Amino acid sequence: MNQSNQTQHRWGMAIDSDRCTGCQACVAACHAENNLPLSDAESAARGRAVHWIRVDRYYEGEFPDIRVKYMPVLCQHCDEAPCEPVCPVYATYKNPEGLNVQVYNRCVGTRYCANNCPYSVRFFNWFDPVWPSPLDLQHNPDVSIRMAGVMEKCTFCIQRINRAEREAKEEKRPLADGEVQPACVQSCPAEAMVFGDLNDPESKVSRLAESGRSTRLLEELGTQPKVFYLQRAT
Amino acid sequence: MLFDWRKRRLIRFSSKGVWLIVLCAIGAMADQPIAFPHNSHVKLGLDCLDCHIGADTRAAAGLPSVRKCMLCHAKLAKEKPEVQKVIAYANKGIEIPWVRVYDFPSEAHVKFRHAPHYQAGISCSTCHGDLTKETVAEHTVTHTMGSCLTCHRQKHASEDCAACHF
Amino acid sequence: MDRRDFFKIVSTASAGVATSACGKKSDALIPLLVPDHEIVPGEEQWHPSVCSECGGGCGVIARVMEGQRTIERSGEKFRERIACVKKIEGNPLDPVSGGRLCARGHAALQSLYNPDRVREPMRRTAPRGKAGFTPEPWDSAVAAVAEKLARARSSDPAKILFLTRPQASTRTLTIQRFLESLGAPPALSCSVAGLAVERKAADLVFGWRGLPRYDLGQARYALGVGADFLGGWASPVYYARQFGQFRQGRPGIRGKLIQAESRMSLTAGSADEWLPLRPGSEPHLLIAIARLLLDEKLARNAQQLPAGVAESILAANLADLIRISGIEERRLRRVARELGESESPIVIAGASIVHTNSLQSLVAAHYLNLLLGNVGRSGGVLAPQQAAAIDPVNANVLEALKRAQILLLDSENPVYSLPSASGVMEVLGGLEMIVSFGVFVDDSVAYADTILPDHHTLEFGTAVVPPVAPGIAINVATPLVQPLYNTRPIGQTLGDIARKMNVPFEPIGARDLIEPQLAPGETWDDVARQGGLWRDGEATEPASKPLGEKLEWSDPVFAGAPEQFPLQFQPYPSLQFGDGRGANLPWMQELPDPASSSMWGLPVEIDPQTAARLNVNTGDWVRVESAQGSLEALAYVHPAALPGVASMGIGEGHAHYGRFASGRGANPLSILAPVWENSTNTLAFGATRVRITRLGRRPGELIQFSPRDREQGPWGYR
Repeated sequence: MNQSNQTQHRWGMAIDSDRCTGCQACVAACHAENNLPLSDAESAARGRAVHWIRVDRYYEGEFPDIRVKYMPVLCQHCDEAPCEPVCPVYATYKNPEGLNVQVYNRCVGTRYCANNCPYSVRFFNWFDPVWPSPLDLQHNPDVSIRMAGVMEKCTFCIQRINRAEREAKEEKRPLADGEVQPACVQSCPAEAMVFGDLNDPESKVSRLAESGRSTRLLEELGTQPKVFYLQRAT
Repeated sequence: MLFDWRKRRLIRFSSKGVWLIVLCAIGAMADQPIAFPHNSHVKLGLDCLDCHIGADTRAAAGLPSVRKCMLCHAKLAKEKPEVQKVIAYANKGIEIPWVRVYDFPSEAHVKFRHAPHYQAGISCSTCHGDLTKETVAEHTVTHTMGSCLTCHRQKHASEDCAACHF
Repeated sequence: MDRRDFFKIVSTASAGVATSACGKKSDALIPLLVPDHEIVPGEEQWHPSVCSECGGGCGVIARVMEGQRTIERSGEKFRERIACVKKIEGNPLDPVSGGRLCARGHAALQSLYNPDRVREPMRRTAPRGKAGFTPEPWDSAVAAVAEKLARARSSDPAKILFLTRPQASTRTLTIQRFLESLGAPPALSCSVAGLAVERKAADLVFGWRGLPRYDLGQARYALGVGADFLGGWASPVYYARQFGQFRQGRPGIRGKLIQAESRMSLTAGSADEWLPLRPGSEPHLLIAIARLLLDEKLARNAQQLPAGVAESILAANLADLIRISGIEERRLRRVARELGESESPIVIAGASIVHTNSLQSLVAAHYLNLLLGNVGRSGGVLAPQQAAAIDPVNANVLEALKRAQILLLDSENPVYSLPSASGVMEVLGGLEMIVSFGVFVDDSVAYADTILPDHHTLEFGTAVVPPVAPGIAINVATPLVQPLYNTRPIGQTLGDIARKMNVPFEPIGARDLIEPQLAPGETWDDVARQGGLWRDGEATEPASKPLGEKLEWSDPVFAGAPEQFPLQFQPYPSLQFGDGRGANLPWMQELPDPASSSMWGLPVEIDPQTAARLNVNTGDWVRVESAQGSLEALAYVHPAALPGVASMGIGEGHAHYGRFASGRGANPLSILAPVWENSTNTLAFGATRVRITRLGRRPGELIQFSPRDREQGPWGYR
């Protein structure tokens, strides 16, 4: 990698469980932004529905003292990503900004990465996606349409990151904290999700990641995820 | 089901293989609705940006609308048979159905933007050939990832996959 | 995106239009319809609009970019470049959405580009209810409708009934004006999310027209009763934003939410504590809390309570109330004490599931807030804006349908929303004429004689008054993109009909609504460009004196003998589909249900005890039977369901509603007994008893995205 292109950004996310209501606005926003393939009842029953972000719900306790935990789970963009070393064709790798990138062109569809992902956030395209016309008019031209045979997953809305960086560069100014917002973060009504640069200690996401409520999913596996979950305050 | 997606994958691979051939073929065929002479327009002093207005600031260079053609051709060279075709489209209120000469197929997953390349001082001819010598645009320069990367390396531009493919 | 960024976007987008429009005057920029030839590939424009998926009326912004479609003109096929809406986001300037949006709002795109939209006017060719139609030119379709309407008007205009969505907008105003000019009765709505009882209670107690606004974001301790305000009730984005602020938006302050509901709703799941309330016992719980506050001298504002109300509370038998509510006395006493001792307490009550006695629960909640001294105060219950009072109500719909000869339908679906046993299908089958203005063929439009299809909201201008908004808010939509099909805005169609009938009528546009409200220096252009007119929330009314003098409560009525039908059945408006109208959007179909994680179908939720008794497992087919009818559904054994209560989301089970919804699943409303709420005669959809029998494993299965209900160790995800 060329040294002059090294940026100082390291993108990460914080999700505040105390704010999250489980409303799934993030899920729908992701579908609208990222041209996710449309499922139908049959393919969904075969486990082929694709959601780059999902809201897991876990019941805790027994009735009547029962509670629900809502937890949006997306690609954790692990620093030590289990999906990367198992790919025989280097189709998934860590880019200079810390994103775990899936290169569709390279992917040959072994699905080893999905098998090795402890968070189950990688999805395989079993067929070419189909949108009954004119639903396809909605497609976001900034994002590829993935074809049969390749894996796909959350990109942290890399098209938005690239765009913001490009615009900042054109205007010859640094990126401001909060200027880049993936679709899920942008739509979250309770503002439970925060996205930003983990290399900037003053960024909101860094401060939340350092707060006492912060944990990471399956940290014990040593995956070093870049999504931080703030536990409920009680 | 394994068989099924494999079959589809094979189809994809083969279509990818065919792709380069097709691109070359388009240039050769160049079956455009109007035999637009690039060379004579350039000779008249027109700049590429005059018609392809997005190349310096936008993602797509863009094709001129038929209205734009008519800004000149409402008065100029009205008698030429090819220009009469332009006038016919304009009268019908239909855009000219130009055939794209340079394009990335959707399987390439390339999100190309003209603007940063123009601003980095890459001349149009580097990627599109010398249009002062062509009449109807032909596919004279082959774009492969190798040719892109060679230039990116020379110019110290990003070599991250995700800079272009996402 | 914050407000500043949005201004930037809007101003640059408009500048783009200005330059390409070759120096037209600035007022020529409005409406902001993006001409297709001014769309540059790869470049985006953002324009404001209003979401019309639910009644919340959120201001949104839409991303408009180039798209291509193939059209046929005189036999030849052309690829046409058109302006397309690619994404919808909240309008950061709008005080309701604040730049945020819910799942249904995002999916509005799929109603605009739905492959099953009505593309031209149509005439019925098949028997009523079978949805057979053939295209008909606008002129003759309008003429036929006008002729029949004219005849009905001259005999008895009271026999004309208009059903429209429960939203205060220029659309509703246009319809009301049309009906006035015909001398017909006002329009009604029949949505189960119409919030008629909430409005009635606010009117009865405070004389407020519209929905009270609960200032959750400034409160410290909230008790929610029966209102799933995070899952779709009233204004989901507004309340979710308030909730975020309530929980973690204030340094050093964290609000605590206790939710009393008969179902583990999204709100109950997000609460710090859920009080599993027996269905229909909301009034009992609220009066018990009021009684405890009075007893323990924690009612800081007891002197403002009308004497009659205080007497009723003190005369209540506390033990009975607590027993009926089904909540442990110890917990109830603690909640009452915490509520009374909190610096800024609030009670948020609603009827997400309507019972026969829902009005009493809302009235009791208003008095409880009065006791707590938070009515009209920051962090309390605030009066609605006056303009929100123009929406049609869901009241006495069945009676109105029975009286009517001519039914005009605008996106309301009585066949789906009312139980089969109410006879709604027979009533519709016997009407003289049914005209639909909706953009889809649904269960009720299948009965229509003529369809005069409307533009989609994103294709024409409107102004919507959000029912819940701080201060004064009117959100404005300007047409964004060219209509895809041969449709016409409803105002224009009604105008054409009126002209044919020789009735004076002018539709009301967004501009007519906005211009009288403009302050000096403001222009309509400014309002249209930013997407609405908003005034800061100064208290429009002081802490109101209650008008009512009495407080009553009664036990909820359940239809069906408990011996034969042992379970209480509660259909509930779902997060994905709302009152059912979201079911034709594939994104909503594949959105995992928040309770069961099911996709492409909604299960019936059964508690583990009952399930064990019936030998039912998650994924089994069951028959749900009431005295009025039965349905078959997949079971989900819900770890947090109340024993003896079966719940089912509303949304599936459409006979007709496009390819994504037709014939999928079952409609829980269809098997209900026709039991009505006592004050408004709106459907009491939580008032039916059922029995459930196991049908066993059969083809077709419960499709769950995340089947695990419990965390199961490190490698147990999904």
